[in-house]
Amino acid sequence: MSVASKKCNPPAGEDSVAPVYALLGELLSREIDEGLLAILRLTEVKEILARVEPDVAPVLEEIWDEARFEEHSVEFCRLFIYPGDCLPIAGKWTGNAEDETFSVRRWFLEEGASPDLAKHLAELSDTHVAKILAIRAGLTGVSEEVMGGYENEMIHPWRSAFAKRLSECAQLPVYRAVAGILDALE
Amino acid sequence: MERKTLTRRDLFRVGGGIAASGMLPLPSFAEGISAKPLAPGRLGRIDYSKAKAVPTICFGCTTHCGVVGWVENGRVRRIDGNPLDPNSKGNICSKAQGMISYTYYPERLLYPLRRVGKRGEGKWKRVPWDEALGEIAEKMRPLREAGTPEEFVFHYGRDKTKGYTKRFTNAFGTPNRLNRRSICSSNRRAPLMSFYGREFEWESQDFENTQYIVNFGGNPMEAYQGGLYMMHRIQHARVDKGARMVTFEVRPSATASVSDEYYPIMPGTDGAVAFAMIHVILKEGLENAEFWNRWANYPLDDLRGDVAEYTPEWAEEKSGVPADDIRRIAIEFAKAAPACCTMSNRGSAKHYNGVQSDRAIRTLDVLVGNVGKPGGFCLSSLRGWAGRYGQEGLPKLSQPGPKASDPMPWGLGEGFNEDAFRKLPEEVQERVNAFPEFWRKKYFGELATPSEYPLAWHWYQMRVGQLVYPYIKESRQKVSVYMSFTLGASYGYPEANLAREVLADEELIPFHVAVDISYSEQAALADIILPEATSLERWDHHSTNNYGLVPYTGVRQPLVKPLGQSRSIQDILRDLARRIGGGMEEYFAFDDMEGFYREWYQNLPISWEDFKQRGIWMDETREKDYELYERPLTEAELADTSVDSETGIITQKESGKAVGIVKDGKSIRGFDTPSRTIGVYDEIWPIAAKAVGLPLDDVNASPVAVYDTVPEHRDLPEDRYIFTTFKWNVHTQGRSAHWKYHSEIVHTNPVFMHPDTGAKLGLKEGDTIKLTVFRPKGHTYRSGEEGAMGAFENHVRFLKGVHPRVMACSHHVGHFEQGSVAKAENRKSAPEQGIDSESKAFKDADIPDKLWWSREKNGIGGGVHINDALPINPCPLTGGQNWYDNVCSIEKV
Ligand code: SF4
Repeated sequence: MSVASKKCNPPAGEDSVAPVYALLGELLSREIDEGLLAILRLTEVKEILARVEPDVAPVLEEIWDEARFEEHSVEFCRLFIYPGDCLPIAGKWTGNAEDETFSVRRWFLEEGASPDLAKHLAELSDTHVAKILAIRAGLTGVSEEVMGGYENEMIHPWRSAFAKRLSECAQLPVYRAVAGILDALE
Repeated sequence: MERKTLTRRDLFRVGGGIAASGMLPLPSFAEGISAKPLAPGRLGRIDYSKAKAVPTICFGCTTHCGVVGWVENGRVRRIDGNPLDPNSKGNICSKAQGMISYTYYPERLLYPLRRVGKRGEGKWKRVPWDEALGEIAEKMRPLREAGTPEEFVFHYGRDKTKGYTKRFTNAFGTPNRLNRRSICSSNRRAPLMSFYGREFEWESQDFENTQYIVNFGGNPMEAYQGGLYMMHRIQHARVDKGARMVTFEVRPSATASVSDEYYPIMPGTDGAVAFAMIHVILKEGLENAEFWNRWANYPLDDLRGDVAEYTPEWAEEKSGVPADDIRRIAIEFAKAAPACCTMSNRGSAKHYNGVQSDRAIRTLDVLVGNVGKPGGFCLSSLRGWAGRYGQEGLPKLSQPGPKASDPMPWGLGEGFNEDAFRKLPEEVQERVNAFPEFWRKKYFGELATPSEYPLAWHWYQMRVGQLVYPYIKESRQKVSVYMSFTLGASYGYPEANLAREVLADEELIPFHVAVDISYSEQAALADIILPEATSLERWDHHSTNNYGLVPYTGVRQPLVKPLGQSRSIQDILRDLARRIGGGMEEYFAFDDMEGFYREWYQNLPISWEDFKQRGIWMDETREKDYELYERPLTEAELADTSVDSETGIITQKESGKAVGIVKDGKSIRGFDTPSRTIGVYDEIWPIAAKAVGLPLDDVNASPVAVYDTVPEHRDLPEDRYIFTTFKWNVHTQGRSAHWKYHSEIVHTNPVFMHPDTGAKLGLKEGDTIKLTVFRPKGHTYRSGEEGAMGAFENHVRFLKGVHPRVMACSHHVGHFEQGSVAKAENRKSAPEQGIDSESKAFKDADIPDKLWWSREKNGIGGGVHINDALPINPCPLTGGQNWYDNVCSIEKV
């Protein structure tokens, strides 16, 4: 596979879904800031979030002051960092957190190279679900076989269990909505 | 979760919306990269033609073997031994792979965290490093500016930076760089230093060439610092050369199990056996009088008188070891001299009478004249290469400057920190003011140098870590900023609940920073957590004693970049110092950490690149460290010295320091003690006793070794037992419970007892018991308090070979933090499951892919935390924790 650098707009057609993976990667790897909030408030995004989690709509309508951002930062930390109630490590959701099956590095082992990810994604462990999802977002333009293989092997085995746990653990609607979207990815 | 169906079209719409907004760039890949998925499963086999082998120093435990890490595609895949390491000779133990586990532990700390809710509530948010360090600096700077830097306390669990953290505390101006030596090895170090001097707080027996080893409770197969170095030599000597090893232990440890003879011994009676052996050796005329008279500072006839009553029959009564065996072992030991040696560690030393037991054991070696001889009890260069005793001729290695000088001692008068001193309780001030001058100059407050335990800091600062929290609680000393560095006090210290109570109290500790690699029980009680790089990601200087008796040095070097946002302690302290400023930054004016270490080793006769490639350097042509004490002093060493005509001691005129001794008209080095002889007799013990009001008839006050029964064990009622803890070979105390594959091997801690004891108590294997631990007796902290200290419930296992009066339980599982592997399922162990090999837990088909020992998997759970029930029990004078004296009762639940 040879993948050219991507622009913001993915090619029309079957991989328009790539930005959804990218957004999930962002939401699972960093706290919500003004930039991410703006994306969540895009009409198309807001609508779909509200469909999977109705409580999210009023939250996104509100003015987010410092306390609101902080509340989401704390929730992010509780879920994904410490104590990590919903640890975003893929292997954890298939039974062995130290399992390397889901290592994105494994996919790029041949060339010993890694994709050009933003720093906050690059520094994550190679089995972090956000990294796995972000890489998927970057796979546009590859053959369907490679893409399908990646989704089947790297994402689907842990996706539902993780989404279920996130949905149960999340105390704020935004993260329940993330769980809903994740669960709906087929 | 109720599932909402979204169609592909829905997702396209969202994707399209995001794409059209231009707000979220997608990741990209460089041209020409081909993604060739590997076969599903774990990472493939290591391709050794591509993987890079990088030597470093293991930090799976404190033995610090030279190892080689295989790095493939930026990930450490495997750890092997480094054959160039003269200590390990390329051997490693299973814990070495633990470094991979803790580096890639999914729940590892990777970001600075700031507490959001109440301390200990478990609510955190990520903060950028700048913010975290900025906040810490804001708390610390005013202390320094106000002239109260001592209100900053740095408390470490395991610091192998060889002086780097001291560089920071000195630059800040605080003497409070605390440790945990007293809960580990201080009671075995003190007798060694009393005998042989400051430079020899650890011995290096010549196991390779020995013929006979008498081991008093040492457990190098599982726990001993340097154990791996010792064991392969011991086994080589035993198996290939016919050496014998006799072990006295309270339970059949792994070391006992590979010994030629093992004797279950009543805890705290090792000294009795050692004294009886001395008695026999003298009676049989097997002593080496020539060596003794030349080097011991105590008349042989006096020793003969001291041990007259210590017969093998007397020792049998105390210890349970048959008198005939003691007699035979003593004779065999002495006849093997000088190719014989003793060995002891916490098993003999962590008792109320432990210091004296170890002095008796050390006396055995002097008596048969094996000290420094081939196959004997040898002494070899230890820490750093700074031209100290035993390091002559070695290249000098030192941490690059500039370094700040040590803080001033606390006291009254010129050259003392009077302000800090005057804030101490009056009673403490009075005690310190009455100290001899040589201690007044070493006194730095109650946390670093507790005045009731002067032998915890007489030779150097071993400190009394388990008293730090009670002392803070009693307001003996004010703490404003407290930094824990890889410290597990709130889990692993005795009365760990007290540590947690103090750490949770924001009045006692207003600001707590924890530096760690995992979310430990200690980190859970911090205000800010700083994620530390692991030993596979950082630099350290390394030098230690060599059982091959030729000094060597090594380097720990990063194999991979620190994961996430973690940083090495060196980077953290450097950056913090710069933020605090006020001159501190001058001591940390280096950006390039590799350059810093390169300078440290600049005097090595090989290039830096060569050294990094080898990982180890040693002068192969150097003579072994046999009989260092007989070496003649050089012209340079004799310059500007004077000789005491009575004692023959050679003293440097300017410093007043003894540097050698005249024997048979020759100026030789002697031992590193003030008398330059072996301190079989040492006045420092009664001097210390008088200074703190310890009665002179207490066993710890004697200037020569004596025996007395542990106070709690006198007239031990039939229904009371002695509770002992131990450590398994696959774990590194409480630090390794989150290493998946090691916890898979050991994850629980039943109470082991002799089957006869179990029968007497009406128990069967797997029964649950309540074990109640009682408060200590004797002159210890909170003397006089009586009754139960604490209790826990656990299940029992029977093991022949455990002494019938002993209850033995390992102390490093039962975590309530440290992540999912360590916690497994932290409820009471399930007696009906996992006890015998037929149980369901052991047949779980999911092994090794799941936490099959968790309760959810019908496993036995993650063990029982026992450390809250164990009393703080410092030995008089040295402060070493008397772990193995505790008396307990047993009730069936
Ligand atoms: S004994 Fe094992 S864990 Fe300890 S340093 Fe050596 S290899 Fe590492």
